[in-house]
Parts: sequence; C-alpha cells; structure tokens
Amino acid sequence: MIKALLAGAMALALSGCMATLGQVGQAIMNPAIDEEMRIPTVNRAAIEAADLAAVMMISPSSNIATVGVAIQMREGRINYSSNDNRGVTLQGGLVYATLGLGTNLQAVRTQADDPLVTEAAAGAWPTEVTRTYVLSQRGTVYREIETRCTHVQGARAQIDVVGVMRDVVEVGEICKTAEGLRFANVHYLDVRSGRIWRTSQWTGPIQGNVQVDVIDQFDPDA
Amino acid sequence: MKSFHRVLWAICCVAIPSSAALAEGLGGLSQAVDTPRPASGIAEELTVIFDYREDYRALSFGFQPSDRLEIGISFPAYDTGTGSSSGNELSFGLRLLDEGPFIPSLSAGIVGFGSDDRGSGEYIVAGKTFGSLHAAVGLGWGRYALQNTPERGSDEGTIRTDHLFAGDTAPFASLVWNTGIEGLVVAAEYSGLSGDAAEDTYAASLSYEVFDGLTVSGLVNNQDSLGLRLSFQANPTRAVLQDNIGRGPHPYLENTAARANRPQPNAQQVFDLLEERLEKEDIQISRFAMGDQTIDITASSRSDVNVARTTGRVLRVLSAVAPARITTFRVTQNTGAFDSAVMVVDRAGLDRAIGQPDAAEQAWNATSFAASPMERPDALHESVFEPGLTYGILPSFKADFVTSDSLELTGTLTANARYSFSPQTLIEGALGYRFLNQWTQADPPAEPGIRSDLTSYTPDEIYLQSLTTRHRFRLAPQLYSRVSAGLFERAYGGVSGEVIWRAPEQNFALGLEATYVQKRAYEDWFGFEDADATTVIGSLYANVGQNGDFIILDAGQHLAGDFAVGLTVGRNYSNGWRIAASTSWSEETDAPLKFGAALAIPLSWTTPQGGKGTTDLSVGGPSGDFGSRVSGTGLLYDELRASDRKRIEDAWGEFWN
Repeated sequence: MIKALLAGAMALALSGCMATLGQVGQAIMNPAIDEEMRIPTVNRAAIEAADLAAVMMISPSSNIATVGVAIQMREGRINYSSNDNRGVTLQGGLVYATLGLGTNLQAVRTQADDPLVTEAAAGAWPTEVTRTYVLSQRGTVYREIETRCTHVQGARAQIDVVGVMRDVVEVGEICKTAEGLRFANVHYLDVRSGRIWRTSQWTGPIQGNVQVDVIDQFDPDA
Repeated sequence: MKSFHRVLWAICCVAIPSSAALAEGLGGLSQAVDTPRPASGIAEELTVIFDYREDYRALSFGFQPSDRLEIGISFPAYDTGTGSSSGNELSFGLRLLDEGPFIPSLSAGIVGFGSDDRGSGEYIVAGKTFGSLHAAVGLGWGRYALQNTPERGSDEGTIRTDHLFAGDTAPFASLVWNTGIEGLVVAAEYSGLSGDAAEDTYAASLSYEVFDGLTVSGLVNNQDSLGLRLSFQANPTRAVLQDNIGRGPHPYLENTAARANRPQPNAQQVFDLLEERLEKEDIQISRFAMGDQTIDITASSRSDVNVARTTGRVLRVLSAVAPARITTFRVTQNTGAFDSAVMVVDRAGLDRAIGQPDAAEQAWNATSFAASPMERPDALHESVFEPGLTYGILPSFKADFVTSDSLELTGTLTANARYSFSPQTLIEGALGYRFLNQWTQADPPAEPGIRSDLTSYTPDEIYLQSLTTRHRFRLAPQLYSRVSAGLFERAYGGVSGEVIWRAPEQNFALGLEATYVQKRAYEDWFGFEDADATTVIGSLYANVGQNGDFIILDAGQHLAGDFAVGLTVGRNYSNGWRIAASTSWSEETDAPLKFGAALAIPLSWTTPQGGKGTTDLSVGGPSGDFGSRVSGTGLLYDELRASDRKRIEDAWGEFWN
C-alpha cells in the first residue's frame, strides 16, 4: 500500500495533469483490500432517522473498516467512535487523531487557514499548507513530522458515498516531509459547501492513509 | 494451567585453553561471511546467530544500543584437532564516519575483548553502498592476522589493552549483494589469512530469509570448510504487528460544570458500570473504594503488559462514570503478592490534557507516585483470593558445553506445579528430565564442588529440580521482604531471606539477600552432601536514562565463600521486550570477566493473542565455581520491577491509547 501511495505521489508530482490525479485517486481510494477486511453494512435510514452524524472509517494498513458516530465535540473537533471504541477525530475535514485503526495518530497541528479545517471550496485553497503530525513515542515525548502539501484540483464528479450519490470536486494533495517522505491525500468536496464527503489522508508512517466517508454530516445546530 | 507460555534457551560455558587458529567469528557483530562489515546503523537492532561448522560452533548475541554502536556477546567452541577450545567473548563495533554520497563509512571494532582464550581481534573497515551492492575493505589485527595468543586478552586476571590495534595486520574485503529476489543475499569475501589448503582465504555465502527476521545461510571457503548459519534479527521498536489494532479505549469525558448538575451515581453504580466497561477491555478490578473526593482502584490487564496503557484505559472509563465531586483517582499496582505502587492522578489535569498534542506529558505531570498504605479502610469491592493449584510443562533447550566438549544442543522438559495458599504464600516444585543429549555421569568428586560437579548428578532419569515454600510480606510501606525454604535448585537446598527497600517515587531500590544452603545429594532427590555455604549479597537496582535502561549491581559473599561483584545492564521496552547482559568478577577467579545475556520477546509482538507471555532466550550465566549464587530463591525484584516508576514513565506514550 505504501509503495502504491509513493508511486502515485511521485507520478503526480512529475506530471501534474488531471488524468494522473484520477489514477492516483483510484489507487488511494480503491486500495487492494485484503480479503480479511470486511466493510460493514450501513443502515443509512436508521442513522438518518436518529439524526446521528456518522462516518465510515477504513484503514487499509490494518484491514479495519468500521462505522463511527459523533459522540463528542471538544475545542471544535468532533470525535467519532465505533462500538468497539475505534475512532477518528475530525477538525472540519482534517483527520486530527485516530484510535484503534492502526498506529494511533495523536494530533495534527496545522495553520489557521488550512482548507481542510475551514472546509474551503476547492477554488479557495492556499498554494501550500504546512501540517505537523504528532505520534506518541517512548516516555512522555512525542514525535513530530512536519509536512508541506500542495494541491491539485481535479474534475467535478458524482461519487457513491455509502449508498448516496454526491456531487463533488476532487482535490489531490502531494505532501513531503523534511526527511523526504512523500505521500498523497485525496479529498472529495461538496460542490456547493466545500465540506468533505470522502477523504483519504495520511495519518503517520506506519498507519498510512485512512479513508473517511461521511455518511451523515455533523450539524452543530441540530 | 499456568498463564505463561515460555520456551527457554540457554547456554552454559566453561573456558578451556587453546593454541590453534581456526575459523573465527565476529562475536555477534556485523559480518559479511567471516570478515567484518559496518553495522546496519539502525538503533535497537538485535541479532542472534548460531554458526555451525565442522571445526567451529558459536552462539552469539548482537545488539545496537544506538545507531553507531554495536555490542556482541559470543560463545564460540573450536575443535583444534587435538581437543576443543571454548570462549566467552565481549565485542564492540563503532561507526566512526557515516557513509556519504562520495565517501565510505568507517567503522572500528574489537572482538573478544579481555578474552583469556584466543586473545582479541581488532579491525577497521570502510564500507560503501552501490545500489543493491555493498562493498567493504579493511585491516585486521590479532586473531584476524593469525595472532591467536591469550596475551592479547588478559594477564593473570587483569584485562590488557596495550596490544589493541598493534602488531601484524592482514587485509580483508567483501561484497554483499542483495539479489532483488525476495530474501536472497549473496556474499563473497577475501582475507589474507592462510590456512591448511591455501595461502589466502576466499569465502562465499548464500543467505535466504525464510520468514520475517529468520535467515539461513550456507557458507563455503577454499580452506575446505563448509558451514551453516542461522540468524534471527529483530528490532523491539518495530513490531511485526501494527500497534493499536485491537479494541480502542473508552472515550474520555471531561468533568464539566454541566455534569455536576446532573444526578450523581453512588459507589455501587459507579463500580457496576466500571466493571462492565473494563471487562470489555480485558481489565479486571480487584479492589474498589470511593470516598468523598477520591476513587481508589486496583486493576490489572489480563493481556496487556503495558501498565501505562492499562492505567489510561481505567482512567478513561472512570472519567465517564465517576461523580463530579471526585477530584483524585488512585490507581494501585498489584504484583500478586504486593500492592507495589499507587499512581495518584489529578482529574482536572487529565481534563486539560485530553486531545492535546502533548497529552501524554500533561497526564504524566498530573500524576504522582506513593506507597500503598499498610492498612486501608474497607472497600466496596475486594476480590477474595481462592487457594489453588497451577501447573505447566516448560521445554527448554541449551547449547551446552558444560556437559559436552562442544556447543551441543540439549533439551530438558520441566513439569512444574504451584499451590498458592494466599497471594503471599505458596509452595512449588518442579520435576525435570533431559530428553536430548544426556551427559555421562562422572564420579562424584572427593569434595563436593560449587558448580563444576554438575555431571556428577544422575542423568537419564527424572529428577527433582526444586521443591520450595515461599512467603512474601511487607515490613513497612516501602520495605518488601521474603522468606524461602526448601530445595532451591538441582545443586542446593536450604533457607533464604530477602529485604528490598523501594520508594515508589525513586528510580532505584536496594536489596539484601542472605541464604544458607547445603549441597544436594548426587544420587537421590532429598539427600544432602556434607557441604554447606552461606551467601550474603547486597543489590542495587536502578532505572537510568530515558530509554528504559537499567543497571543491577550485586556484591557480597557468594557460594564459594568468595567476594564477588555482578553487573547486569539492560533495556526494557514498553511492549514487553527486555534485553540484558551481565558479567561478574570474583576475587578468586583467574579469568577477569564472564558474560551472559538474556532476551525476553513478548508473544504479543508477533500475535494479537500473545497476551503477557514471553519467549525467553539466554546465553551464559552462572557456570563457574566463583561469583556464583543460589538460584530459585525467588528474588523479589523480579516481581516488583514491572511497577517501577521509571518503567511506567517509559511506557507513558501509550497512556491515551
């Protein structure tokens, strides 16, 4: 999987064309899923009837796929947790933390105008975004991995997000760490609001990319 | 059935002088075929190597405590043609220069430092990588230039250093090619060593990684020598399995003002919820008490060795179920016999930490350590101990040249049983049977020996390895003690007492063990020979640095009546790995240093069902008559160390996981 991501990222960096973005998106969003991974069946009607904000979380590196519902909001970040306490914390559309999906991501520090956090429309993304990923280590210290990401806007499309077709704009990010590690993120933003419907984001050198599909958006006014 | 599953590997050794030069190993350091190559440069890398050739066998441990330094401990045995020679060697390799785009790396090493058998060998080696090909060229001294003299090691018990990197030299060079075929590596080398068949030596090897970490190599050279090498390579910090793939932790809930305005649960309700939720995480509660502002809980995981993570999971659930008035959580660690430490955690501090990038550090700052009081008020829940029997069978394998002339694999099956009257008091016994490569029984010596008379004991039949009773108790909150009596090990039985002072907030402990033993009979299970001994040994146990490193220093009167000092250094990992090396010095011995190494690999490192079990490997250890102590008395620190403050801090990165 990591090799596929790196190969995709390198190809995208070299060409920068839309066709390649599509290929990278396909490579990331449709990983060669191990036979052991089971994608859970989602009862969308029940989720919508209960008015629950919910996401599907897929971690190809650990063969885990699970559904989480929003259980907490802390400092503007939403915690989604599954029945077996696996979860992601989303800050807007940014995967801020993960639990139980592989090697946990503790936190992500990012700039105030990070378009994933502000859920900016595809045309309003800054040229470059700097994010710092925090992973626990031995003792009380933690490892920080600073990344710089540039984006490439793709085409509008309709995608199936857990049983519902969504009008989206595809945005790819090519990121590089100070140590030279490269990876790619792919996001599918709502055409009108800029909110994330599907995203595959890097969450650390071991866990790699985690895919989040938004089943039902969190509505702070609900 | 006993809850642990362990396979024990061990090697015992004695040194026999030699004079001939044969195949030479690298003592656990990085090598091409038989010549040095630069270390991998990956910190924490660990290698166990077994070399098997017609005239040479060796078991070696190699470890890289940092990306520049590698340390090896090796137990070679040589067939000299007229007899056998075996050693006990400590080796070091140091990378002096890193490889650059245009410059090679430069490393230097000393193999067999202080060896009283074959003397040391030194080398410098330069290495350069070209794609999948690694080339190395260097110069060797001492045993790598056919200067095999004991004078290059020690002189009447004193380690010599004036010979290092001095005298004749011989060149060597090697090529190691990673073929690109998965797991297949080819190596070829030249060395200026002459042998029976040729003036110079050319060697080649073909290596294949059978599965992750285990490599089989075939070796050949133009001196008519063929060989086989098994090597196991692992890095404790790089799990075979990805971390955090099991059930996630309970969501943390801050103690907000809004929660204070809701109806508050009573102690029974809190306990019921806590027990139900922790059960899902395989954590059991053995004691629970709730006061006005404090909840006091003793809990342990059935499957997780990481105390910090278990504590974090308990506190996460407590955050959700505890009444708003509770400001302090007291989490007690229990070793089985003792309440060994109490972590006192400020709830408000956890509230501030949750979700922050430095959440682990903030949680640590909200935690202090205290001794568990001798008497505590009644608890709402306290597990009642039920006396019971546990038993199991433990196979062990030894590469042994105490009872054979060469490094020969032996196998022993030990059936053990334990009846516990209380958490503090037990009786246990073990029956052993050596099913592979028995020794030939020697006539008992005129005067019973200390260790060197092992072959006088009866082979070929089941023997009583041990039968002891043990009681552990605390004299004061920070003073742990033990009394033991019975047949401690194959050679000794008697009585033993121990006291350890250990303050929970300190990173060291002090211990004293006094033991009186009688030599056990060579022929029957319960008899004794007419020989006795008294040992009095003081110990310092210290956790140092930030990497899980520890030092154990033992000093005092040992079995031979000699004053001896033992030193053990090692590293604990939060995932249950433990690496240790030991050496000892005695006022009576003629060899300056003997070495041993031990390795514990957690089964959870390779399988999610591994639980708390470990696979244990050891080399060296007590074998000579001097500097030897009685084993099997039940040293207390072995059960206390898991709850050392420093060990918990080293694992604290997993607190929120």
